[in-house]
Amino acid sequence: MIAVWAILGLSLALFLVPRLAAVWLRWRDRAPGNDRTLLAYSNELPRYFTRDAAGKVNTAARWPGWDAWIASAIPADDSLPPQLIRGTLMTGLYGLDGIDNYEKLLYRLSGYQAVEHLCLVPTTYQLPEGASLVLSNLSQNYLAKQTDLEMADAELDVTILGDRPGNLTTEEPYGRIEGTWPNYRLSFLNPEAEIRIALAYQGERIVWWTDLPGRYTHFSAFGTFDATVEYSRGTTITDPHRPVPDSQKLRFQARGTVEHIAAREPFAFDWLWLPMRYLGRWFPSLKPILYHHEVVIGDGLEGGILHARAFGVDFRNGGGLFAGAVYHRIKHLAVSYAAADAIDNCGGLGALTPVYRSWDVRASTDAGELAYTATRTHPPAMAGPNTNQYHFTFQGTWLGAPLTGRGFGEYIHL
Amino acid sequence: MKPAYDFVIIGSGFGGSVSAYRLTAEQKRLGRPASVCVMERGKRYLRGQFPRDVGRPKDFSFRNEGRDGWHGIFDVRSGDNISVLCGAGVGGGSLVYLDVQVDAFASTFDIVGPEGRRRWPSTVNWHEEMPGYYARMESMLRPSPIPDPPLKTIALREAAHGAGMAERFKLVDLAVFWGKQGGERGVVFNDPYQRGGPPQGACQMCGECFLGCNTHSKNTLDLNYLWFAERAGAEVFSQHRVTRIEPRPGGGYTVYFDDLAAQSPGSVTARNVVVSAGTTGSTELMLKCKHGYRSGRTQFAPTMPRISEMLGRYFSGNGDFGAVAFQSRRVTEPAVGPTITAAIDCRDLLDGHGFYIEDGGIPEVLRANMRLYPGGVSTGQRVLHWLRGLVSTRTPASLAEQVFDLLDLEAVRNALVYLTMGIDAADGVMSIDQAGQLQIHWDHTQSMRYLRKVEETLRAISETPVPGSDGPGIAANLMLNPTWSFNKHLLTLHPLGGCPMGDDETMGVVSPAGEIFNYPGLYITDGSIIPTALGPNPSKTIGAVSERVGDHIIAKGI
Repeated sequence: MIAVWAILGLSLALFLVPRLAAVWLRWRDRAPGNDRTLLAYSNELPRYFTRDAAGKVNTAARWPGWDAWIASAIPADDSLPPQLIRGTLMTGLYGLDGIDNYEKLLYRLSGYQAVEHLCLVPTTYQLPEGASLVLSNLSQNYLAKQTDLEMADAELDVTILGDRPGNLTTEEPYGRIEGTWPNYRLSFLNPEAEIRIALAYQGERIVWWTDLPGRYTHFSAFGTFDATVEYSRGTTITDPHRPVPDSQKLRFQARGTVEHIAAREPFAFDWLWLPMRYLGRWFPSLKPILYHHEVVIGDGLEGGILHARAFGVDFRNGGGLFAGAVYHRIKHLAVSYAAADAIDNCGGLGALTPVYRSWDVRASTDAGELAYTATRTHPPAMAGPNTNQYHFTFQGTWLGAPLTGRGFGEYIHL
Repeated sequence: MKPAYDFVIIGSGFGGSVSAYRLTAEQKRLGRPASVCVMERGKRYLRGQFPRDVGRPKDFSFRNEGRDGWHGIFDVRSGDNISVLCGAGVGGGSLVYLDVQVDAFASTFDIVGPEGRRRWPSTVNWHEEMPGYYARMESMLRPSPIPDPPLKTIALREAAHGAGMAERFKLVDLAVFWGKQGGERGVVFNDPYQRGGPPQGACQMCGECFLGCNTHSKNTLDLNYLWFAERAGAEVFSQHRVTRIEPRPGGGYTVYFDDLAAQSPGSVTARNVVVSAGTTGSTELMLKCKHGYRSGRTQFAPTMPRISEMLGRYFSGNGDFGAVAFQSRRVTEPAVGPTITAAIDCRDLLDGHGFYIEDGGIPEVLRANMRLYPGGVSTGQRVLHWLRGLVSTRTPASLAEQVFDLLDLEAVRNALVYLTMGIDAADGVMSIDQAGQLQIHWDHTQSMRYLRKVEETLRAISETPVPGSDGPGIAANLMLNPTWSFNKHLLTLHPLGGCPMGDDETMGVVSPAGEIFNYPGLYITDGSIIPTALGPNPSKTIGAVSERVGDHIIAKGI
């Protein structure tokens, strides 16, 4: 009898808790009212860390949460080899394997002791006889917070250091962001592909996804990048057997976003997920978390969508668009997924992970509808076993008028 | 299994799979029912079924002639001064080989052995014939260089640059599916080569080639030659270990085997038999047939005493020589990427009988093991972290650090593993003891010039520049294979010889067409018929020679 009541109680809790949480989030979220052109100083600075006795940032301690700064830039000239530049600096992990990639976490580090550097540069390489090759060029590193993170607290200046690929006797910044709104300077290194990136960013306007003070804040600031990308091996492959040093430096303008996410530690809930993992082995289709976030940059229109669902409850289903200077809030979103790639994560006989190649989006605003069909342009870049980051092109309509453009996004389903 | 076949093929590696496909396809072309039986001692592995659970050693090791559950994927034979590691499973050595598809050095076919004999049969123009057979291998295995080389590849390039050998560095052709665009890591494609083949995933760079590719990215023989042979009607029997072959009065042969799954003996007859059990397996089987052997209380008399006295000769480890450059100044991450990706080509050294230095990898067995469990890698990580805390509270914290540095393979994250192979003297001898167990006798004396040059070159590419100075190179400390340094004992993954080809029975065991002298209709085709070292990884040449043998069997009439 007690077991029956326990199961009923647990079922009721699983039904009620997500729904109540969603209601609470809507009630507390300050995102709709936040300013869309000015960014408060506090919103660009790191939010979750601790100080030592001397008042300095203490990277040896466990922090109450983490911050992430993500730069995403799409070259204005779509004929250039790089299709997208995406760089991430995180002062902690999300805390859930699938979104994080625990395969890359050293055994001596816990999820609380690692910082993340990610550099994604999908690039088209020219091969002999007019052929081409598209590589994702994803570099993802979990490094030790204690030794490899340098962070100021009174200004935005965050650096993640890694072993210098060419000479271990010194460390080298794998990623850095510094500056104040609206001007940031960023740099990223992709050691595997031997690509170095420098970005000068000027921000213009902001889409707020969530602003729950003291819990979770996430915004994307749209702006222009002056980008310099150096491919140490070049982008023209004359002999596939000889990746000889043939440095090529590209300088171009790009449009994109700088994001800042600040999250408290409750998001580190991997241990709570263990029962779901067991169930997932028996029922591979059981995937209660969906997160689909993407940004579109089209003819005179830019903005993005965010769909976050857990246990059948929508926590976010909307977004925002700037048509020129006018902001339109997306009130409802419907995404239907079409062709997909199936990914084998080396996990033995486990189920394959679908990663979509194309999908249809319909987003409703008070002014009318944005509808588009998107197509991913490069191989899946799996930043976690269930997490794909991607660049895409799209065709569709905005208020009935034709619209084309490009975008980038992140898709998680676990 | 039927009682009789036109062809019984023993083994499913580069000799057996190629033969099975060519013979079955020819029978099909002639409109005849397929009558080809392939017997493989190892198990069949489907996608995701290769062993990773380190708590089940019997899944990894093939020992005790496959009895008592020891029917794993690796077979290690230890001999005098050399040990041999082979694969066991449907697909043979291709399941555990390291994907490399490179032609033998051209100079190989003209080698004169230390005994003063020209080794390769002089009745064949190998330089003229082999390119066509290599092309067949390429069309089936689709080798190509890695499109997105990992850090260890870049480190090898830098090492070559440091030693003034930049022009010798190149990415090698690997029989790996990279994806249709290239670099589509993990994406599974149905029939990726659009020829009626099986689904395959694009390489995930998991570094586990050596343990069996669980994503079927490696173009192993069960995914191509053998796959098509089975679809054409060939019958493949796994866990069937052949014990002896006996000529039948009036022609043909009886093949005796143990069914390791059913734990029962059996036999089958065939008009023709193709022995492709690998260098050690084929030689051991032929030695048992020539000399007889004792199994328990039963003495088996010789069944084929007229096999050439050359049986067991010309054993070679293909110059395999391992070393590691530790404490280099580059990040290498040897657990990431296919085990081998690139080479420093030194074929022109040593009067044209040089060597190939390739980067190696280290499969991350612990992580692969944790993936198997429902909690996955993240749960394993938390358990390890808890253990680390426990160790730290009961011992000096530095001990815990050292233990976890070991688990993290910290000592090799900036190490460059070398796998060198080249032209050794190929003067080893294989024999059997009374119980029919293979004995390998190898003396390094005639190969010392080669080995010294390899060591000298490895030292030059590893230890340039000297620590503390600038300039290109990886500035590491070279450590040679410790079993060589301490005991002059080598490990080879590429055994060759034992049943060498020759112009006649005084020169070899089989004819250039692979047929055993004095035993018509009995063929050998695998590494054992190669009479010399080949230089680089030998699988492509073994496959090409098997293609040639298949042509001759077909030409003779099937």
